Amino acid sequence: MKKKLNEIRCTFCSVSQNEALARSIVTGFLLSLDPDVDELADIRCAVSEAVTNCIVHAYRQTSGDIRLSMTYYSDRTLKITVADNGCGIADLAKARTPLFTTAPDEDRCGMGFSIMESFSDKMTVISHVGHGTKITMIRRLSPSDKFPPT
Amino acid sequence: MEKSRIQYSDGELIVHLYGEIDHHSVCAIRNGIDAAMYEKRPKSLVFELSDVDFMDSSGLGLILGRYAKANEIGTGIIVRNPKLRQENMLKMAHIQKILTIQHTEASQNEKKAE
Repeated sequence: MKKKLNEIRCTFCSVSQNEALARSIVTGFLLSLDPDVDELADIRCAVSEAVTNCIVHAYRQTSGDIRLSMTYYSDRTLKITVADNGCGIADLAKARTPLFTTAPDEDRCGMGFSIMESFSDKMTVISHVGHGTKITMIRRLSPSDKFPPT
Repeated sequence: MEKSRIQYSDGELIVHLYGEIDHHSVCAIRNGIDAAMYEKRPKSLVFELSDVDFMDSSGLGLILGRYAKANEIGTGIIVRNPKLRQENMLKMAHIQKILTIQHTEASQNEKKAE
């Protein structure tokens, strides 16, 4: 049976400085798990994409809260959720299509979802137009001889 | 914090990017790159990525977004010395078809030394 070992839940404003903050939170939270350098880089990038989506798309010209939570379990699986109360996504299939973007004139390249998907073992998106979007990503980290700490 | 340095030499407009390139930092450097590109109309616009520690799809967007504008004025785009992660991301977006990815000798030697 896998046990929940640690969890963090935080809420921050949808300002672009917080993209770097979110990545720092990821690094800080995962440090005790002794993650592989590439795995940590993957997860930092996936969270950065999710948070950027909230700022650029969900809240567009408005602002609001972004909720980031991370949980890790004894089998080294990590569950990350990023949620907003923004505009929601009308056509999820389209949004998840590589290179599709609703904001090409702002230099968005339409790769956010593809990157999140490729950097997690499983990604689910729940979205309600006018209410918000919640992304859940699951990633199992490779074993480390320094974990669990003795 | 400075995220980019732009210099012009021998027909190349070189944009040297540093540190973490995300949506936040891209917003701050994009206009400077465009202004310099229209002023110099270089043969190539070079993104030097050897000092980039982190880049997400916003960095891809920065490069791709410049492509359309550069193409109009006959400027080619070169991405120089991306790290493996960044090169993989560039390939994920299939942008190696429209621009050149280049590894200079100096960075190759660095790799061997590592």
